[in-house]
Amino acid sequence: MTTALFLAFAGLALLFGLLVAALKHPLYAALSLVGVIGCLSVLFYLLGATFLAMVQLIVYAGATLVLFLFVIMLLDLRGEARQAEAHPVQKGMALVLFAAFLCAGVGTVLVQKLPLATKLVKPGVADLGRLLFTRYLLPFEAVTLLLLAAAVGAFLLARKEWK
Amino acid sequence: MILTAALLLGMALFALGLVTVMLRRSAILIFLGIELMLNAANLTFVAFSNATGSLDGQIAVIFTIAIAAAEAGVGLAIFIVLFRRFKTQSVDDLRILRW
Amino acid sequence: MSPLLLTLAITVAKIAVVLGGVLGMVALMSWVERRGAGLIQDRPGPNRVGPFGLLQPVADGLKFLFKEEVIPAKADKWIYLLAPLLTFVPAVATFAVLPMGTPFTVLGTVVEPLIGPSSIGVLYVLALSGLSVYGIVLAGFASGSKYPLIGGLRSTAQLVAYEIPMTLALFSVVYASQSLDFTVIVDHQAGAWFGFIPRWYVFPQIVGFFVFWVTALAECNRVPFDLPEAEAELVAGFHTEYSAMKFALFFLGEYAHMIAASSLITLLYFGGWHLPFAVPAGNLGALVAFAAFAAKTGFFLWLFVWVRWTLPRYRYDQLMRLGWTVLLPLAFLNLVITVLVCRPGVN
Repeated sequence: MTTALFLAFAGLALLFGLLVAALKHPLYAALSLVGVIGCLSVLFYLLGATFLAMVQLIVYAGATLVLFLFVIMLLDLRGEARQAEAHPVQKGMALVLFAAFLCAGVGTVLVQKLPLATKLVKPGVADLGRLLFTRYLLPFEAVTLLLLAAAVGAFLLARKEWK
Repeated sequence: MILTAALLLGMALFALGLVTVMLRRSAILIFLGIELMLNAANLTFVAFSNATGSLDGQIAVIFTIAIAAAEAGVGLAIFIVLFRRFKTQSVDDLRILRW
Repeated sequence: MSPLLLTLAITVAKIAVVLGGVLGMVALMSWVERRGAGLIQDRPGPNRVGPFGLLQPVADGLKFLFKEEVIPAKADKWIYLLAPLLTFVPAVATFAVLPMGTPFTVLGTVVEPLIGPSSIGVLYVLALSGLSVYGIVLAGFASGSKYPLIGGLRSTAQLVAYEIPMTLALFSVVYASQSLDFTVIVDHQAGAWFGFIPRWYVFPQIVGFFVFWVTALAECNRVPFDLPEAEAELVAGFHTEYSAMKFALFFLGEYAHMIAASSLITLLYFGGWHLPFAVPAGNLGALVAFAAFAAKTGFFLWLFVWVRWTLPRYRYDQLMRLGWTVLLPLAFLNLVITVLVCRPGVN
């Protein structure tokens, strides 16, 4: 039952991912990315990461992608207007890398024996919080500073007048 | 089974994001490709966290989401500045620093 | 019947009941709004259709069904059609985690809250309020004309700005009850001090309640924060170009959002279904609990309507200044005081 649901949403996520890569209009591509994030959120929930599923929706879909949409709308960006073709070498390289990635992925997953979970324990938010504030306190504080710097930087960069 | 599917999906999404970054000329679409790659990495983290039963993967995802948000904010601000200055969203047109 | 099938059947039944209830309440709310407006403005309000105008929502619904569906030429068709859904669905989806009473038994055990992520109920509500931004910003953009675009952008900025004090006020409640689960939060508010003052969170966290209520008004785009859809200033804001059924969806979404917000206020600050005096147990108790919950939610819905027809609306810059410079520090203050005063275990 869980597996079926997981596979369904995984397929949906793949579909949205294909749309992100294929669509030329930035607005549609951004909305497809929202679709990917929504499906991934469900997948996180099915993998036991309930807190992360919600955080993904709140932060990624609810804030970061809204920021993308804002920029796309304020600047009224349409699709790639002129004949915007990548350099043929780049296209070839992209194809090679893409194929390599897929083969590597499929091969690694199918050939190797993956370690199974000892027990599917549903961690509570409290466990995550405890870890975050004890073992990972330094990265936590560092990310706080990073976010502050990013906020101030973005504000200063996008101002109209430059002093 | 779920683990395999999750890892495969992560790989596929990462590959798709990579292709988007490499082949698209519009800066916004490149940004979206980057975000797609970050999401794929997050999925892999969570899948392994599920498989090994440890919470470290989920902590990594928390940090990744936060950093992705910061990076998107600053990146979009830079994009706005460039768009105002050069009136184009194509990265091919940003060639002042070329030889 | 296998247990899985039974759970599935019960869940589907719960969804049907809640969905039907919400939609019915939405129709009723539109009647309450118009009669309430009449009451406050010393005029009758709708009284032609049915007794006391009670069939007015039915007439409205029929009108919406039969109106011509217009899609503006410059509109981005698919997004234009998608936007009302994106507004309506998160508002209704909030009800999945809201418990509405105590469990009652019908052949098996049936609990009030619906499917779902009730262990992280509060986060789910926050996620949905974040997602409700999409409908509005897409509606504004996809309409392809100036007034909706401005209205949509303003509304989005307002929603995002007011989400933060709301989150902080919510976290004060979460801290006081040490749980993200709505059922646990409500159960922490059982009982009473001195026998008659109920242990509701509104009393120790009056500032938090005020912040949450004001942000709920802003999140539902209701007066005094409804500039983005104001009739006088912006034609009709982001839903200017919408007609007939699409507009009806926006309308329904707004009322559903109001009902969800009122339920949230009841659950978080007013003890949900707990009354200061003891209630009988069992199925009768469940009925009383649900009635208490409904009554409190109804009071807050009336409060929404009352405020709308009493207060003038804020200008946009006043609105943003209020959110960032007044509500945010107040919410912070509330959180700090809560953290200092409530130690886990002590309340």
